[in-house]
Amino acid sequence: MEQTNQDKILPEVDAITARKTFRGRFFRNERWLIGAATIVLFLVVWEVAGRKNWVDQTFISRPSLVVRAAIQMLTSPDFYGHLSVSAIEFFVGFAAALLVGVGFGLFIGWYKNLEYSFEPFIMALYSTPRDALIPLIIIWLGIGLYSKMAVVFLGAVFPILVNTVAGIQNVDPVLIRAAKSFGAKERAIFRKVVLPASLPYMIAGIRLGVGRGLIGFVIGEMYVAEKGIGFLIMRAGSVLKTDDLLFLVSIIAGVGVLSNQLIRKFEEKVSRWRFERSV
Amino acid sequence: MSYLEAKNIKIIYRKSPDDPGLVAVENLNLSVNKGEFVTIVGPSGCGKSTFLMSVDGLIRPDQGEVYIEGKKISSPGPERAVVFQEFALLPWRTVESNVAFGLEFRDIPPNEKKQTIDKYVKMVGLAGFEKHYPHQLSGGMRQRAGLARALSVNPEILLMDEPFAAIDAQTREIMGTELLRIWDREKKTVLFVTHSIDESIYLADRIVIMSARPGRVKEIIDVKLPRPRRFEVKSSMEFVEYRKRVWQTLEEEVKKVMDYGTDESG
Repeated sequence: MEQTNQDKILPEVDAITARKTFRGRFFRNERWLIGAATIVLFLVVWEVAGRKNWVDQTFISRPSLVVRAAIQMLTSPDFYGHLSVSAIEFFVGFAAALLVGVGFGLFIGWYKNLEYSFEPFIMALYSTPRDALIPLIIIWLGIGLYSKMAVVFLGAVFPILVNTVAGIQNVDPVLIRAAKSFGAKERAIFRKVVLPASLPYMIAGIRLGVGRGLIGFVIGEMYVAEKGIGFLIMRAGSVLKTDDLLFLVSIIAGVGVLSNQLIRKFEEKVSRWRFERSV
Repeated sequence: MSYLEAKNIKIIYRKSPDDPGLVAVENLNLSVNKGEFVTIVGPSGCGKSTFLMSVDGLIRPDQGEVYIEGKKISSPGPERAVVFQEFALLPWRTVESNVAFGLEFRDIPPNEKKQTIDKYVKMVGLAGFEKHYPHQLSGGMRQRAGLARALSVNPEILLMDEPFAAIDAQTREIMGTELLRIWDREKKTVLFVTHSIDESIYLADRIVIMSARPGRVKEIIDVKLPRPRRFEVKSSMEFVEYRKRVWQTLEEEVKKVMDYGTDESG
Protein backbone atom coordinates (compact mmCIF):
# COMPACT_ATOMS: atom_id res chain seq x y z
CA MET A 1 0.00 0.00 0.00
CA GLU A 2 1.18 3.49 -0.76
CA GLN A 3 2.89 4.91 2.25
CA THR A 4 2.16 8.58 1.59
CA ASN A 5 -1.53 7.93 1.41
CA GLN A 6 -1.56 6.02 4.62
CA ASP A 7 -0.02 9.02 6.26
CA LYS A 8 -2.74 11.26 4.91
CA ILE A 9 -5.47 9.09 6.32
CA LEU A 10 -4.11 8.67 9.82
CA PRO A 11 -5.93 10.94 12.27
CA GLU A 12 -4.05 14.14 12.53
CA VAL A 13 -3.63 15.41 16.06
CA ASP A 14 -3.48 19.15 16.26
CA ALA A 15 -1.14 19.98 19.09
CA ILE A 16 -2.71 23.32 19.90
CA THR A 17 -6.35 22.34 19.88
CA ALA A 18 -5.66 19.25 21.94
CA ARG A 19 -4.23 21.24 24.81
CA LYS A 20 -6.62 22.35 27.48
CA THR A 21 -4.75 25.53 28.26
CA PHE A 22 -6.16 29.03 27.89
CA ARG A 23 -4.25 29.40 24.64
CA GLY A 24 -5.66 26.11 23.43
CA ARG A 25 -9.19 27.17 24.28
CA PHE A 26 -8.69 30.50 22.60
CA PHE A 27 -7.49 29.01 19.34
CA ARG A 28 -10.23 26.43 19.30
CA ASN A 29 -12.88 29.15 19.58
CA GLU A 30 -10.92 31.86 17.82
CA ARG A 31 -13.53 32.41 15.17
CA TRP A 32 -16.52 33.23 17.32
CA LEU A 33 -14.52 34.88 20.10
CA ILE A 34 -13.19 37.47 17.70
CA GLY A 35 -16.61 37.81 16.11
CA ALA A 36 -18.28 38.33 19.48
CA ALA A 37 -15.67 40.87 20.55
CA THR A 38 -16.34 42.91 17.44
CA ILE A 39 -20.08 42.92 18.12
CA VAL A 40 -19.56 44.03 21.73
CA LEU A 41 -17.27 46.83 20.61
CA PHE A 42 -19.81 47.94 18.03
CA LEU A 43 -22.62 48.02 20.61
CA VAL A 44 -20.51 50.02 23.04
CA VAL A 45 -19.58 52.63 20.42
CA TRP A 46 -23.22 52.82 19.33
CA GLU A 47 -24.46 53.31 22.90
CA VAL A 48 -21.87 56.00 23.61
CA ALA A 49 -22.56 57.77 20.32
CA GLY A 50 -26.23 57.95 21.23
CA ARG A 51 -25.75 59.06 24.84
CA LYS A 52 -23.21 61.74 23.98
CA ASN A 53 -25.47 62.90 21.16
CA TRP A 54 -22.76 62.53 18.54
CA VAL A 55 -25.56 61.55 16.25
CA ASP A 56 -29.24 62.39 16.74
CA GLN A 57 -30.88 59.53 18.65
CA THR A 58 -34.03 59.82 16.54
CA PHE A 59 -32.04 58.40 13.69
CA ILE A 60 -29.85 55.77 15.29
CA SER A 61 -31.46 55.05 18.67
CA ARG A 62 -29.24 53.24 21.20
CA PRO A 63 -28.79 49.60 22.17
CA SER A 64 -30.30 50.21 25.61
CA LEU A 65 -33.35 51.89 24.10
CA VAL A 66 -33.75 49.05 21.63
CA VAL A 67 -33.65 46.59 24.53
CA ARG A 68 -36.30 48.61 26.34
CA ALA A 69 -38.47 48.59 23.21
CA ALA A 70 -37.92 44.86 22.93
CA ILE A 71 -39.05 44.22 26.49
CA GLN A 72 -42.11 46.37 25.98
CA MET A 73 -43.12 44.56 22.86
CA LEU A 74 -42.33 41.11 24.16
CA THR A 75 -44.57 41.71 27.18
CA SER A 76 -47.54 42.93 25.16
CA PRO A 77 -49.91 40.20 23.95
CA ASP A 78 -50.64 42.25 20.86
CA PHE A 79 -47.12 41.64 19.59
CA TYR A 80 -47.57 37.87 19.49
CA GLY A 81 -50.57 38.28 17.25
CA HIS A 82 -48.39 40.08 14.73
CA LEU A 83 -45.59 37.59 15.13
CA SER A 84 -47.83 34.60 14.55
CA VAL A 85 -49.39 36.15 11.46
CA SER A 86 -45.95 36.65 9.94
CA ALA A 87 -44.84 33.19 11.01
CA ILE A 88 -47.87 31.55 9.42
CA GLU A 89 -47.37 33.50 6.22
CA PHE A 90 -43.75 32.50 6.05
CA PHE A 91 -44.10 28.85 6.96
CA VAL A 92 -47.06 28.09 4.75
CA GLY A 93 -45.55 29.95 1.81
CA PHE A 94 -42.16 28.37 2.31
CA ALA A 95 -43.49 24.85 2.83
CA ALA A 96 -45.40 25.13 -0.43
CA ALA A 97 -42.28 26.45 -2.16
CA LEU A 98 -40.23 23.55 -0.80
CA LEU A 99 -42.77 21.00 -1.92
CA VAL A 100 -43.24 22.44 -5.38
CA GLY A 101 -39.60 23.45 -5.87
CA VAL A 102 -38.12 20.06 -5.01
CA GLY A 103 -40.97 17.95 -6.38
CA PHE A 104 -41.40 19.73 -9.65
CA GLY A 105 -37.66 20.32 -9.95
CA LEU A 106 -36.91 16.60 -9.67
CA PHE A 107 -39.57 15.86 -12.21
CA ILE A 108 -38.54 18.28 -14.92
CA GLY A 109 -34.84 17.78 -14.21
CA TRP A 110 -35.21 14.08 -14.91
CA TYR A 111 -37.40 14.42 -17.98
CA LYS A 112 -35.48 16.69 -20.30
CA ASN A 113 -38.38 17.51 -22.62
CA LEU A 114 -40.44 18.81 -19.74
CA GLU A 115 -37.59 21.07 -18.79
CA TYR A 116 -37.40 22.41 -22.33
CA SER A 117 -41.08 23.25 -22.30
CA PHE A 118 -41.14 24.87 -18.86
CA GLU A 119 -37.82 26.62 -18.98
CA PRO A 120 -39.05 29.87 -20.61
CA PHE A 121 -41.74 30.29 -17.93
CA ILE A 122 -39.41 29.48 -15.10
CA MET A 123 -36.71 31.79 -16.36
CA ALA A 124 -39.17 34.63 -16.96
CA LEU A 125 -40.68 34.29 -13.50
CA TYR A 126 -37.31 33.79 -11.87
CA SER A 127 -36.05 37.01 -13.42
CA THR A 128 -39.16 39.08 -12.67
CA PRO A 129 -38.71 41.11 -9.52
CA ARG A 130 -41.53 39.63 -7.53
CA ASP A 131 -42.16 42.89 -5.74
CA ALA A 132 -43.50 44.09 -9.07
CA LEU A 133 -46.10 41.35 -8.90
CA ILE A 134 -47.36 42.24 -5.43
CA PRO A 135 -50.16 44.56 -6.63
CA LEU A 136 -51.37 41.82 -8.94
CA ILE A 137 -51.21 39.22 -6.20
CA ILE A 138 -53.21 41.47 -3.92
CA ILE A 139 -55.87 41.94 -6.59
CA TRP A 140 -56.11 38.17 -6.80
CA LEU A 141 -55.78 37.16 -3.17
CA GLY A 142 -56.71 40.22 -1.14
CA ILE A 143 -54.77 42.01 1.56
CA GLY A 144 -54.85 39.17 4.08
CA LEU A 145 -52.54 36.25 4.75
CA TYR A 146 -52.95 34.53 1.40
CA SER A 147 -51.33 37.24 -0.63
CA LYS A 148 -48.26 37.22 1.64
CA MET A 149 -48.03 33.46 1.48
CA ALA A 150 -48.04 33.80 -2.27
CA VAL A 151 -45.25 36.39 -2.16
CA VAL A 152 -43.16 34.15 0.09
CA PHE A 153 -43.89 31.21 -2.18
CA LEU A 154 -42.92 33.08 -5.32
CA GLY A 155 -39.70 34.25 -3.76
CA ALA A 156 -38.61 30.90 -2.42
CA VAL A 157 -39.81 28.50 -5.07
CA PHE A 158 -37.57 29.52 -7.95
CA PRO A 159 -34.16 29.25 -6.33
CA ILE A 160 -35.19 25.83 -5.01
CA LEU A 161 -36.60 24.73 -8.34
CA VAL A 162 -33.75 26.00 -10.48
CA ASN A 163 -31.10 24.51 -8.20
CA THR A 164 -32.84 21.16 -8.04
CA VAL A 165 -32.96 21.00 -11.82
CA ALA A 166 -29.29 22.02 -12.02
CA GLY A 167 -28.42 19.34 -9.45
CA ILE A 168 -30.04 16.61 -11.47
CA GLN A 169 -28.49 17.75 -14.70
CA ASN A 170 -25.03 17.94 -13.19
CA VAL A 171 -24.92 14.36 -12.03
CA ASP A 172 -21.70 12.83 -13.31
CA PRO A 173 -22.75 10.70 -16.31
CA VAL A 174 -20.07 8.16 -15.42
CA LEU A 175 -21.97 7.37 -12.22
CA ILE A 176 -25.15 6.75 -14.16
CA ARG A 177 -23.21 4.62 -16.59
CA ALA A 178 -21.77 2.58 -13.72
CA ALA A 179 -25.22 2.06 -12.24
CA LYS A 180 -26.57 0.91 -15.61
CA SER A 181 -23.64 -1.42 -15.99
CA PHE A 182 -24.57 -3.11 -12.72
CA GLY A 183 -28.09 -3.57 -13.98
CA ALA A 184 -29.83 -0.64 -12.28
CA LYS A 185 -33.16 0.31 -13.82
CA GLU A 186 -34.37 3.89 -14.17
CA ARG A 187 -36.04 4.05 -10.75
CA ALA A 188 -32.99 2.70 -8.97
CA ILE A 189 -30.68 5.04 -10.86
CA PHE A 190 -32.85 7.94 -9.81
CA ARG A 191 -33.05 6.89 -6.19
CA LYS A 192 -29.49 5.70 -5.66
CA VAL A 193 -27.50 8.00 -7.90
CA VAL A 194 -29.38 11.05 -9.10
CA LEU A 195 -31.11 11.97 -5.86
CA PRO A 196 -28.09 11.83 -3.54
CA ALA A 197 -25.88 13.48 -6.16
CA SER A 198 -28.19 16.45 -6.50
CA LEU A 199 -28.88 16.87 -2.78
CA PRO A 200 -26.14 19.49 -2.24
CA TYR A 201 -27.65 21.60 -5.01
CA MET A 202 -31.10 21.31 -3.50
CA ILE A 203 -29.85 22.42 -0.13
CA ALA A 204 -28.09 25.40 -1.69
CA GLY A 205 -31.38 26.30 -3.34
CA ILE A 206 -33.27 25.91 -0.07
CA ARG A 207 -30.86 28.21 1.68
CA LEU A 208 -31.37 30.89 -0.97
CA GLY A 209 -35.10 30.25 -0.80
CA VAL A 210 -35.27 30.89 2.94
CA GLY A 211 -33.63 34.28 2.49
CA ARG A 212 -35.96 35.26 -0.31
CA GLY A 213 -38.97 33.96 1.58
CA LEU A 214 -38.12 36.10 4.60
CA ILE A 215 -37.90 39.17 2.43
CA GLY A 216 -41.20 38.09 0.91
CA PHE A 217 -43.50 38.45 3.88
CA VAL A 218 -41.83 41.66 5.05
CA ILE A 219 -42.24 43.32 1.66
CA GLY A 220 -45.75 41.97 1.32
CA GLU A 221 -46.79 43.30 4.70
CA MET A 222 -45.13 46.60 4.12
CA TYR A 223 -47.05 47.03 0.90
CA VAL A 224 -50.44 46.50 2.43
CA ALA A 225 -51.45 44.61 5.58
CA GLU A 226 -53.24 44.88 8.87
CA LYS A 227 -50.99 42.64 10.86
CA GLY A 228 -47.52 41.19 10.93
CA ILE A 229 -43.92 42.17 11.61
CA GLY A 230 -43.59 43.98 8.30
CA PHE A 231 -46.70 45.97 9.14
CA LEU A 232 -45.22 46.88 12.54
CA ILE A 233 -41.99 47.99 10.88
CA MET A 234 -43.94 50.25 8.54
CA ARG A 235 -45.92 51.70 11.44
CA ALA A 236 -42.87 52.25 13.61
CA GLY A 237 -41.12 53.94 10.71
CA SER A 238 -43.99 56.31 10.01
CA VAL A 239 -43.93 57.64 13.59
CA LEU A 240 -40.10 57.73 13.86
CA LYS A 241 -39.94 54.98 16.50
CA THR A 242 -36.41 53.96 15.65
CA ASP A 243 -36.12 51.78 18.77
CA ASP A 244 -39.10 49.62 17.83
CA LEU A 245 -38.02 49.52 14.23
CA LEU A 246 -34.54 48.25 14.98
CA PHE A 247 -35.83 45.57 17.32
CA LEU A 248 -38.27 44.35 14.68
CA VAL A 249 -35.59 44.27 12.01
CA SER A 250 -33.30 42.35 14.33
CA ILE A 251 -35.98 39.69 14.80
CA ILE A 252 -36.03 39.07 11.07
CA ALA A 253 -32.24 39.08 10.89
CA GLY A 254 -32.16 36.62 13.80
CA VAL A 255 -34.57 34.27 12.08
CA GLY A 256 -32.46 34.49 8.94
CA VAL A 257 -29.24 33.62 10.75
CA LEU A 258 -30.91 30.85 12.72
CA SER A 259 -32.44 29.18 9.69
CA ASN A 260 -29.14 29.39 7.86
CA GLN A 261 -27.46 27.60 10.74
CA LEU A 262 -30.18 24.96 10.84
CA ILE A 263 -29.80 24.30 7.14
CA ARG A 264 -26.05 24.04 7.52
CA LYS A 265 -26.45 21.49 10.31
CA PHE A 266 -28.86 19.55 8.18
CA GLU A 267 -26.44 19.70 5.27
CA GLU A 268 -23.60 18.40 7.39
CA LYS A 269 -25.78 15.55 8.51
CA VAL A 270 -27.01 14.41 5.13
CA SER A 271 -23.84 15.00 3.19
CA ARG A 272 -21.30 14.02 5.76
CA TRP A 273 -19.06 12.74 3.00
CA ARG A 274 -18.38 16.25 1.81
CA PHE A 275 -17.46 17.58 5.21
CA GLU A 276 -15.39 14.67 6.40
CA ARG A 277 -12.16 16.00 4.97
CA SER A 278 -9.12 13.80 5.30
CA VAL A 279 -9.75 12.84 8.87
CA MET B 1 -17.56 -20.27 -31.48
CA SER B 2 -15.39 -18.78 -28.79
CA TYR B 3 -16.56 -17.80 -25.36
CA LEU B 4 -16.80 -14.13 -26.28
CA GLU B 5 -17.20 -13.10 -29.85
CA ALA B 6 -17.45 -9.65 -31.42
CA LYS B 7 -18.50 -9.77 -35.03
CA ASN B 8 -18.26 -6.98 -37.56
CA ILE B 9 -18.76 -4.27 -34.98
CA LYS B 10 -19.41 -0.81 -36.32
CA ILE B 11 -20.06 2.08 -33.95
CA ILE B 12 -20.83 5.60 -35.07
CA TYR B 13 -20.60 8.52 -32.70
CA ARG B 14 -23.35 11.06 -33.26
CA LYS B 15 -23.85 14.28 -31.40
CA SER B 16 -27.49 14.46 -32.54
CA PRO B 17 -29.77 12.13 -34.50
CA ASP B 18 -29.18 13.94 -37.83
CA ASP B 19 -25.42 14.19 -37.33
CA PRO B 20 -23.68 12.07 -40.01
CA GLY B 21 -21.35 11.18 -37.15
CA LEU B 22 -17.91 9.87 -36.71
CA VAL B 23 -17.16 6.23 -37.34
CA ALA B 24 -15.41 5.19 -34.15
CA VAL B 25 -15.18 1.46 -34.78
CA GLU B 26 -15.64 -0.46 -38.02
CA ASN B 27 -15.29 -4.08 -39.04
CA LEU B 28 -14.06 -5.08 -35.65
CA ASN B 29 -13.82 -8.81 -35.11
CA LEU B 30 -12.50 -10.40 -31.97
CA SER B 31 -12.72 -13.78 -30.26
CA VAL B 32 -11.80 -14.28 -26.63
CA ASN B 33 -11.50 -17.57 -24.80
CA LYS B 34 -12.80 -18.23 -21.36
CA GLY B 35 -10.34 -17.25 -18.64
CA GLU B 36 -8.16 -15.36 -21.06
CA PHE B 37 -6.52 -12.04 -20.23
CA VAL B 38 -6.74 -9.87 -23.33
CA THR B 39 -5.32 -6.38 -23.45
CA ILE B 40 -6.37 -3.87 -26.07
CA VAL B 41 -3.97 -1.12 -27.14
CA GLY B 42 -4.38 1.46 -29.82
CA PRO B 43 -3.81 5.11 -30.58
CA SER B 44 -5.96 7.79 -28.94
CA GLY B 45 -9.44 7.95 -30.32
CA CYS B 46 -9.31 4.52 -31.95
CA GLY B 47 -12.52 3.48 -30.26
CA LYS B 48 -11.07 0.93 -27.87
CA SER B 49 -13.07 2.18 -24.91
CA THR B 50 -16.13 2.54 -27.10
CA PHE B 51 -15.74 -1.05 -28.14
CA LEU B 52 -15.41 -2.13 -24.51
CA MET B 53 -18.65 -0.32 -23.62
CA SER B 54 -20.40 -2.14 -26.43
CA VAL B 55 -19.25 -5.44 -24.94
CA ASP B 56 -20.86 -4.37 -21.68
CA GLY B 57 -24.00 -3.40 -23.56
CA LEU B 58 -23.84 0.24 -22.54
CA ILE B 59 -23.39 1.25 -26.18
CA ARG B 60 -25.30 -0.47 -28.91
CA PRO B 61 -23.25 -1.05 -32.08
CA ASP B 62 -24.69 0.37 -35.29
CA GLN B 63 -23.74 -2.86 -36.97
CA GLY B 64 -22.58 -6.25 -35.83
CA GLU B 65 -23.16 -8.14 -32.61
CA VAL B 66 -21.37 -9.25 -29.50
CA TYR B 67 -21.98 -12.84 -28.41
CA ILE B 68 -21.23 -14.45 -25.10
CA GLU B 69 -21.38 -18.24 -25.16
CA GLY B 70 -23.25 -17.86 -28.43
CA LYS B 71 -25.89 -15.56 -26.97
CA LYS B 72 -26.35 -12.13 -28.44
CA ILE B 73 -26.04 -9.36 -25.89
CA SER B 74 -28.11 -6.21 -25.95
CA SER B 75 -27.74 -4.77 -22.47
CA PRO B 76 -25.50 -5.03 -19.41
CA GLY B 77 -25.74 -8.43 -17.78
CA PRO B 78 -24.74 -10.12 -14.54
CA GLU B 79 -21.89 -12.05 -16.16
CA ARG B 80 -20.06 -8.82 -16.99
CA ALA B 81 -18.75 -6.00 -14.83
CA VAL B 82 -16.83 -2.84 -15.69
CA VAL B 83 -13.95 -1.12 -13.95
CA PHE B 84 -14.02 2.49 -15.08
CA GLN B 85 -11.11 4.78 -15.78
CA GLU B 86 -12.62 7.54 -13.65
CA PHE B 87 -13.36 4.99 -10.88
CA ALA B 88 -17.04 6.00 -10.94
CA LEU B 89 -17.40 5.54 -7.20
CA LEU B 90 -20.36 7.19 -5.52
CA PRO B 91 -18.70 9.99 -3.54
CA TRP B 92 -21.35 9.95 -0.79
CA ARG B 93 -20.78 6.29 -0.04
CA THR B 94 -18.02 4.71 1.98
CA VAL B 95 -15.74 2.07 0.50
CA GLU B 96 -17.84 -0.83 1.78
CA SER B 97 -21.04 0.80 0.63
CA ASN B 98 -19.55 1.41 -2.80
CA VAL B 99 -18.47 -2.21 -3.02
CA ALA B 100 -22.01 -3.18 -2.04
CA PHE B 101 -23.49 -1.07 -4.84
CA GLY B 102 -23.40 -3.73 -7.54
CA LEU B 103 -24.94 -6.29 -5.19
CA GLU B 104 -27.94 -4.09 -4.53
CA PHE B 105 -29.39 -5.00 -7.89
CA ARG B 106 -29.27 -8.70 -7.15
CA ASP B 107 -31.24 -10.82 -4.75
CA ILE B 108 -28.70 -11.68 -2.14
CA PRO B 109 -29.35 -12.40 1.55
CA PRO B 110 -27.83 -9.68 3.77
CA ASN B 111 -25.32 -11.87 5.60
CA GLU B 112 -24.03 -13.32 2.38
CA LYS B 113 -23.75 -9.79 1.05
CA LYS B 114 -21.72 -8.74 4.05
CA GLN B 115 -19.35 -11.68 3.58
CA THR B 116 -18.91 -10.95 -0.09
CA ILE B 117 -18.11 -7.31 0.58
CA ASP B 118 -15.58 -8.22 3.28
CA LYS B 119 -13.96 -10.79 1.05
CA TYR B 120 -13.33 -8.43 -1.84
CA VAL B 121 -12.43 -5.44 0.28
CA LYS B 122 -9.72 -7.64 1.79
CA MET B 123 -8.70 -9.09 -1.53
CA VAL B 124 -7.96 -5.69 -3.04
CA GLY B 125 -6.08 -4.62 0.08
CA LEU B 126 -8.56 -2.12 1.48
CA ALA B 127 -9.14 -3.79 4.85
CA GLY B 128 -9.25 -1.05 7.45
CA PHE B 129 -10.56 1.51 4.98
CA GLU B 130 -14.15 0.24 4.84
CA LYS B 131 -15.56 3.40 6.39
CA HIS B 132 -13.56 5.84 4.30
CA TYR B 133 -15.12 8.00 1.64
CA PRO B 134 -13.58 8.03 -1.85
CA HIS B 135 -12.23 11.57 -1.50
CA GLN B 136 -10.23 10.42 1.50
CA LEU B 137 -8.41 7.83 -0.60
CA SER B 138 -5.63 8.07 -3.15
CA GLY B 139 -6.26 7.28 -6.80
CA GLY B 140 -4.79 3.82 -6.40
CA MET B 141 -7.02 3.03 -3.45
CA ARG B 142 -10.09 4.34 -5.20
CA GLN B 143 -9.46 2.05 -8.08
CA ARG B 144 -8.99 -0.85 -5.68
CA ALA B 145 -12.49 -0.07 -4.47
CA GLY B 146 -13.67 0.09 -8.09
CA LEU B 147 -12.12 -3.31 -8.70
CA ALA B 148 -13.68 -4.77 -5.54
CA ARG B 149 -17.06 -3.46 -6.61
CA ALA B 150 -16.74 -5.13 -9.99
CA LEU B 151 -15.50 -8.42 -8.49
CA SER B 152 -18.18 -8.54 -5.81
CA VAL B 153 -20.94 -9.29 -8.31
CA ASN B 154 -18.87 -12.30 -9.32
CA PRO B 155 -18.82 -11.64 -13.06
CA GLU B 156 -17.26 -14.05 -15.51
CA ILE B 157 -15.97 -11.23 -17.64
CA LEU B 158 -14.17 -8.22 -16.28
CA LEU B 159 -14.14 -5.22 -18.59
CA MET B 160 -11.44 -2.80 -17.59
CA ASP B 161 -11.43 0.57 -19.30
CA GLU B 162 -7.98 2.09 -18.82
CA PRO B 163 -8.40 1.44 -15.12
CA PHE B 164 -4.93 2.62 -14.12
CA ALA B 165 -4.76 5.67 -16.39
CA ALA B 166 -5.57 8.10 -13.59
CA ILE B 167 -3.09 6.56 -11.16
CA ASP B 168 0.52 7.64 -10.68
CA ALA B 169 3.16 5.58 -12.45
CA GLN B 170 4.63 3.88 -9.39
CA THR B 171 1.33 2.84 -7.92
CA ARG B 172 0.37 1.68 -11.36
CA GLU B 173 3.18 -0.88 -11.38
CA ILE B 174 1.93 -2.32 -8.12
CA MET B 175 -1.69 -2.34 -9.25
CA GLY B 176 -0.75 -4.37 -12.33
CA THR B 177 0.93 -7.07 -10.28
CA GLU B 178 -1.95 -7.15 -7.80
CA LEU B 179 -4.46 -7.43 -10.62
CA LEU B 180 -2.59 -10.48 -11.93
CA ARG B 181 -2.60 -12.02 -8.46
CA ILE B 182 -6.36 -11.53 -8.18
CA TRP B 183 -6.97 -12.74 -11.72
CA ASP B 184 -4.99 -15.86 -10.91
CA ARG B 185 -7.28 -16.57 -7.96
CA GLU B 186 -10.59 -15.56 -9.44
CA LYS B 187 -10.16 -16.95 -12.96
CA LYS B 188 -12.03 -14.26 -14.82
CA THR B 189 -11.99 -13.48 -18.48
CA VAL B 190 -10.51 -10.01 -18.73
CA LEU B 191 -10.68 -7.39 -21.47
CA PHE B 192 -8.27 -4.66 -20.48
CA VAL B 193 -8.01 -1.42 -22.46
CA THR B 194 -4.79 0.53 -22.00
CA HIS B 195 -2.53 3.13 -23.55
CA SER B 196 0.53 1.64 -21.98
CA ILE B 197 2.50 -0.79 -24.10
CA ASP B 198 4.30 -2.24 -21.08
CA GLU B 199 1.03 -2.80 -19.29
CA SER B 200 -0.46 -4.46 -22.36
CA ILE B 201 2.40 -6.97 -22.49
CA TYR B 202 2.84 -7.53 -18.78
CA LEU B 203 -0.79 -8.46 -18.13
CA ALA B 204 -1.82 -10.23 -21.30
CA ASP B 205 -2.22 -13.65 -22.73
CA ARG B 206 -2.94 -11.87 -25.97
CA ILE B 207 -2.51 -8.26 -27.05
CA VAL B 208 -5.01 -6.81 -29.46
CA ILE B 209 -3.55 -3.89 -31.35
CA MET B 210 -6.13 -1.61 -32.87
CA SER B 211 -5.80 0.67 -35.86
CA ALA B 212 -6.38 4.41 -35.87
CA ARG B 213 -9.96 5.51 -36.29
CA PRO B 214 -12.10 3.85 -37.43
CA GLY B 215 -10.83 1.20 -35.03
CA ARG B 216 -10.27 -2.32 -36.26
CA VAL B 217 -8.14 -5.15 -34.99
CA LYS B 218 -4.80 -4.64 -36.69
CA GLU B 219 -2.79 -7.37 -35.12
CA ILE B 220 -3.02 -9.86 -32.31
CA ILE B 221 0.11 -10.89 -30.47
CA ASP B 222 0.32 -13.93 -28.20
CA VAL B 223 2.35 -13.25 -25.11
CA LYS B 224 4.22 -16.35 -24.07
CA LEU B 225 5.88 -14.98 -20.96
CA PRO B 226 5.65 -17.48 -18.10
CA ARG B 227 3.17 -16.90 -15.30
CA PRO B 228 2.99 -15.89 -12.53
CA ARG B 229 4.77 -12.77 -13.73
CA ARG B 230 6.74 -10.44 -11.56
CA PHE B 231 7.97 -6.95 -12.07
CA GLU B 232 11.44 -8.24 -13.08
CA VAL B 233 10.04 -9.77 -16.25
CA LYS B 234 9.82 -6.27 -17.70
CA SER B 235 13.59 -6.12 -18.06
CA SER B 236 13.90 -9.55 -19.67
CA MET B 237 15.01 -9.93 -23.28
CA GLU B 238 11.69 -11.47 -24.29
CA PHE B 239 9.76 -8.58 -22.84
CA VAL B 240 11.90 -6.10 -24.73
CA GLU B 241 11.23 -8.08 -27.91
CA TYR B 242 7.49 -7.88 -27.34
CA ARG B 243 7.77 -4.17 -26.68
CA LYS B 244 9.51 -3.73 -30.04
CA ARG B 245 6.91 -5.78 -31.85
CA VAL B 246 3.96 -3.95 -30.35
CA TRP B 247 5.52 -0.59 -31.03
CA GLN B 248 6.32 -1.48 -34.64
CA THR B 249 2.67 -2.16 -35.31
CA LEU B 250 1.41 0.70 -33.20
CA GLU B 251 3.77 3.40 -34.39
CA GLU B 252 2.24 3.68 -37.82
CA GLU B 253 -1.25 4.04 -36.35
CA VAL B 254 -0.19 6.59 -33.78
CA LYS B 255 1.41 8.65 -36.53
CA LYS B 256 -1.80 8.57 -38.54
CA VAL B 257 -3.63 10.01 -35.55
CA MET B 258 -1.00 12.70 -35.12
CA ASP B 259 -1.39 13.62 -38.79
CA TYR B 260 -5.04 14.36 -38.54
CA GLY B 261 -4.51 15.82 -35.14
CA THR B 262 -7.28 14.38 -33.05
CA ASP B 263 -7.47 15.06 -29.38
CA GLU B 264 -10.33 12.79 -28.54
CA SER B 265 -9.65 9.90 -26.24
CA GLY B 266 -11.14 6.47 -25.97
